[in-house]
Amino acid sequence: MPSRTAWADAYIRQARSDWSLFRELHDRDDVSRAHVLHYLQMATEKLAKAYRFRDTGAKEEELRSSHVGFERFLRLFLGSAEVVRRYAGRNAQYLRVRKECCHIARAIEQLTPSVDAETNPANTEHPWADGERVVAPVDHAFSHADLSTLPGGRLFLRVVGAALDEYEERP
Amino acid sequence: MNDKTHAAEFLINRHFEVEPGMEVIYRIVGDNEDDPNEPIMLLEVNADSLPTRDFNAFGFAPSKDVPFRTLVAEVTPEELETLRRERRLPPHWDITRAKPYYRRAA
Repeated sequence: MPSRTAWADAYIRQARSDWSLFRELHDRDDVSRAHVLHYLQMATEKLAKAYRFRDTGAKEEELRSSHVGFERFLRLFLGSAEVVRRYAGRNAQYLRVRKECCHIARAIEQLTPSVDAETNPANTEHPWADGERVVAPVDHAFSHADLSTLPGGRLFLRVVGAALDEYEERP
Repeated sequence: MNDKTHAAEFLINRHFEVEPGMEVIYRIVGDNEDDPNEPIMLLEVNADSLPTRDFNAFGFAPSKDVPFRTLVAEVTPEELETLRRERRLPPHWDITRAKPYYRRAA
């Protein structure tokens, strides 16, 4: 049976690959926002799983099958001693950043079809009903996830990038 | 004011509005600025940001409000100072040729 470290390392490699594709697609205007955000959602989900496999005792089956956990992970990452140290003496800023990033993390997590489907049917993969019409993700603007103008949007990307870069794979 | 400058200033004003820690935004002006394919480049100095190991710029696709490709790099004031002192700003991000925008007084 593979070790938790093996799962964690595989998840971080996959997350980095998804992230790389997300970044490549993100500034292209010939690609639907649905596809772009789908890669962001996948990168962040796998990023969270890598850390949780490595650092927590969460059940393996739950980690592998669940699509939620990124917001919870980000809260922990931003609460880590290393990140808190970088905000030493800037408590008000730290609290605002954590609030904004977790808010965006929740929005990204909700882009998964199975997450909050009743209250937030808009997702990046499957069509959904909007009254009498059916919306295809490729036709949806996802303006609530426009990271170029959202408060904390650019910082959120920076935080995700840092979490990916600073993950140390164990030998 | 040309269309690209108008779009850049729209984005700059928006970022000052939503980011209370934003101190200054440098708009990097490239050699081919009249070329519509040349991206808008913004180096944003945000005191609220998370200091990280590396300089990173994120690309954003053209949109209705900003119909040009845009590259945004965010740093803290201390990071910018270090990057300049250690000459680690990428060549395309030379702020000596940039136009700085400061927060307007309320």
